[in-house]
Amino acid sequence: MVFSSTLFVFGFLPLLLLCYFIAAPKYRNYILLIFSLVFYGWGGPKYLVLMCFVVFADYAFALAIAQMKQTGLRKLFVVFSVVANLGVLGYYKYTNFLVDNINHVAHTNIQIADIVLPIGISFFTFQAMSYVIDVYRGDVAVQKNPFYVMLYVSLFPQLVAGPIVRYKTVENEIKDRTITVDDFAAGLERFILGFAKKIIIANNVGALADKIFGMAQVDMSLAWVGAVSYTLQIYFDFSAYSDMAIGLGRIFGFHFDENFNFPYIATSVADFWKRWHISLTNWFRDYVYIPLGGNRKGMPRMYVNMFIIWTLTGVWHGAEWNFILWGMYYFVFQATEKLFLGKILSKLPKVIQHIYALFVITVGWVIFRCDSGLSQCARYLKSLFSMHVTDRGLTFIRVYASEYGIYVLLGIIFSIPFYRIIKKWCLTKLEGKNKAKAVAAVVGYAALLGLFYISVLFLVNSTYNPFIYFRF
Amino acid sequence: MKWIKTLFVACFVAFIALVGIGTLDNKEPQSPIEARTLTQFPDLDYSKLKDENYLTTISNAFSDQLSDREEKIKQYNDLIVNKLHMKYVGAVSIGKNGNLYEQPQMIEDYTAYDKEAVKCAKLINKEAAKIAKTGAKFIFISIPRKDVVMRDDLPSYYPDSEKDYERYIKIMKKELSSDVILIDAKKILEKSEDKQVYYKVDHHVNATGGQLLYQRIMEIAKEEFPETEVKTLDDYRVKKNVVKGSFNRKLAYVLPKEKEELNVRPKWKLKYHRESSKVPLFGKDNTYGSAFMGSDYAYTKVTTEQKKAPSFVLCGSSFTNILEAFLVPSSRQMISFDYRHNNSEKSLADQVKEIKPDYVIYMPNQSDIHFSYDTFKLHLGLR
Repeated sequence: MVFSSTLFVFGFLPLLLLCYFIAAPKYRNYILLIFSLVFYGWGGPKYLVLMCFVVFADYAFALAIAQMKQTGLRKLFVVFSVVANLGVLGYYKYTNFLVDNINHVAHTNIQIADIVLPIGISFFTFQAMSYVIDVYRGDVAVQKNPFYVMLYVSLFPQLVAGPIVRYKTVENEIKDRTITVDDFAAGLERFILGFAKKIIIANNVGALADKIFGMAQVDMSLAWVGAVSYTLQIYFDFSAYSDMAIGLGRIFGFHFDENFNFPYIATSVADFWKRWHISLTNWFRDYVYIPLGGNRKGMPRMYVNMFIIWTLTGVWHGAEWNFILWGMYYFVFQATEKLFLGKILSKLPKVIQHIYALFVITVGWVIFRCDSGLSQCARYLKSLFSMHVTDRGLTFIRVYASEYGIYVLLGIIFSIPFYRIIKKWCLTKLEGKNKAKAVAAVVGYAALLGLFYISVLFLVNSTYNPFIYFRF
Repeated sequence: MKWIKTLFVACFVAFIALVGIGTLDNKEPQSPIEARTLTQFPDLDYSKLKDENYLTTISNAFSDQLSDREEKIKQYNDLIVNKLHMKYVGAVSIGKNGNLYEQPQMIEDYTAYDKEAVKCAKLINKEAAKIAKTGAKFIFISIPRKDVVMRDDLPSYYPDSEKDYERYIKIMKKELSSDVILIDAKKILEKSEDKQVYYKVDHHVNATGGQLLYQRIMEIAKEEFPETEVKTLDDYRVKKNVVKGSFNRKLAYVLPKEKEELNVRPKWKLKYHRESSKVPLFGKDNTYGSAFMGSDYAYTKVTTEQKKAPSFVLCGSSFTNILEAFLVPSSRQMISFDYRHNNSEKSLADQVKEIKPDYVIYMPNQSDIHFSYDTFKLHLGLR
C-alpha cells in the first residue's frame, strides 16, 4: 500500500482514525501496530514474517545487552544484531548482484532464482540495528514490551521509505503522547503538501524523465531536459513521501525529524548532503563514520573513512554498479571540497555556488538513474556533454513542453522554500492582528483543502484508461 | 484559531470518510466512459488475506469503485482542458476549430521505420498475389492520420508528421507489386473543398472524407463496370449527431459537444439484405449507414438487387465502415471481415478464394501504431 493511493486515503486512513480516536489511550499503540502491519503486509504478506523476525531478534538482542554486565558479551550481541540485519539485507538485496558479477568475472554459470526484494528492507533493518546499538551505547533505555519495539520499527508512516527514525526520537512518545488539534492540523497540512508534491509534480515530471531516459538516442538538449526532469522527480517523490510520513506521524502524536531541507538551494556538495535524506546521512555518520574515527585520526584516515561511507551510501541505494559509481562520484566531490574547493567556493558569489552545486547534483542523478548498466550511463553522459543539438531533439522538447512544461515549472518553483517564506512573512505581518490572522487561517486552510481535492482529481484520473476503439 | 483548525481537520476527515463509505457501497459493473468492466469487491474471505492476488483485487476494486469516480475524472479534465487551457492532455493534442488530434508520434529510428514499411509491403504483395489468382483486383488504401491531412488546425507545438507519412508512401510505391492498386488517401482527402474530412473529436474519416474515397474506388470500378451508378453525398440524408469520439473520450467528454455528420441514409429506396455475425464488442446496430455498417462486426454481408454492379470484399479496421456505407448502393454484394473480432482460421485470401469478388479492398489506418507489420497480419487474417 502507498500513501498516494485511493485505498490508503479513503479506506485505510479514515478507518484507522476512527479506530484510533475512539479507542482508550492504553490500546492506541496496539491499534497503530495492527494497522501498520496490515499496511506493510498489504504489499506482500510473506514479508511480514521476515520483518517480524528481524524485529523480534533485535528486541531479544537489546534485552540481552541490557541485562549483561560484561562489555565483551554486550558487544557480541551488537555484532549478532549487525550481522543478522546486514545478513538479511545482504541476502535479499545483493545476492542476485553478487552472483551476476561472479558469473561475469569468473565465467561461471551459477543459477539462482531471482530473489524479490521485500519493500522497505533497507529502512527497517537500519532502524532495528540502530535501536540495538543505541541500547548498547546507553543512549536509550531498553524497551521490554516487544510490541512497542515492533511498533517503533513498523510504524506505517516511516516504514516503507523513511525517514529512518531513531528510537530515542519516539521513545517517550511511544509510552506517552497527547494529540492536540494543533498537532493534528499541522500534521494534516504537511500530509496534504506532500500528497500534492507527489501526485501533481513528481508523477508528471517522472513521466517526462521516463520518456527521455527510455529513448535509444538523445541529443544534448533532450539529455539535459531528461536530467532536470529526473532531478525534480527524485526530489519531489522522495521528499513528498517524507512530508507525508512526518505529517501522518504528527497526526498520531509522533514528532519525526526532518529528512529534507530544500536540497536544491545548496551551495556545495557538502551543503547538499546536509539537506538531502538527512536521516540516512546522520545514520551513517553516527553508526559508521564516527566509530571509524571520523576526522579525529588525521587527514588520510578521514578520507579513508569518507570513502567507506560513500561506498556504503551508494551500495545502500541499490545493487547495481551505477549506484556504487554514484557514491564514488560524491566521495570525489566531498573530498575535493574538503581539500581546497570548498574554500574557493566560499569566496565566489552565491549564485555561482548554486550553479556549481546544481550542476554536480544533476549530473549525479543521471548516474543514479541509469540502472540498466554502466553503458547506459556512459551513453547518457556522453549526450549530456556532446555539444550536439538536433532539430529532432528540439522538436521533442517543444512537444514535451506543451505536455509537461507546467509541472517542470512548478517543480523548479517549489524546490525553493517559497511556501515557508510566504507563511513566515504572513505570520509576521499579522502578528497581533487576531481578526486578520483568523481570516488568513481560514483562507489558508481552505486553500489546503482545495489543493487536496485537486490532488485527488489527479490521482483518480491516473486510473482512467479509456478503450480507444469505441462506438460513437 | 483553534476552532479554525478543528474545522479544517473535521472537513478533511469527513471528506475522506464519506468517499470511503460511498466507495464500499458501490457495485458499478461498467464504466460508461471507459467501456471497460470495473473490478468488483471480492467476497470477504479471511483465509485469503495472505493471498497477494486477493489483496490486489481489493485495491483495484477500491480504485474502480471510488465514489463519484467518473465525476472526478471529468472534473480533472475540465480543469486541465477548459480552465487551464492546456493543449496536450492525456495523449490528446487540442487543436483549433474544435479539432482534436492524436498525440504526436515522433520516429526515433528511421531505419527500423523503413524496414517495417518494407516488411508490410512484402506481406501485402504475398496476399495480393494469392488474391490475384482468383481474378479479383486488390486495392490497398493507405489512410494517414488526421494530423497528416488536416494540418491547418494543428496546435503550434505539433511536429511535422506529413514527412513521415510521405516517407512511408514512397517506400510503399517502390515495394508494392503490380498485383496491388495503391490509393494514397492523403492525396484525395487534402483536395477536398470542405477541409473537415475527419471527425473533429475522433480519429476516423467522416462522411465527407469517406465519400471522396468511395469516388476514387468507383473510378477504378467503372473501368470494368461502366453501368454502375455512382452516388454523391447529395444522394444521402446526412444526419448530424453528437460524436462522442475517441479523442473526446480520452478527455472524459469535457469538451463542448458539437454535432457532426454521422449517419448517412440513402434518399432513394434501396433494397438490400444484410447478415451480420454475432454482435460485436460494442453493442448492436443494424440501421443502415450508421458509422458501423460493416466493420467492428466479425463478418457482414450485404446483397442488393444490382446484378450488374461489382462485388466487394473489405477488410481492415473500423475505417472501412464509412466506405462500406457508400459502396453498398454501388455493389451487388459487399462483404466485410474484421479480423480484430473474427476468429476464423481462414485468412482474407482464403475467404476471397471462396467468395470470388471483383474487388478486394484493404484499408489500414495509420494510428498510434505506425503501420505495423503485426497489425497488417491481424487485419489480413494471418495468425
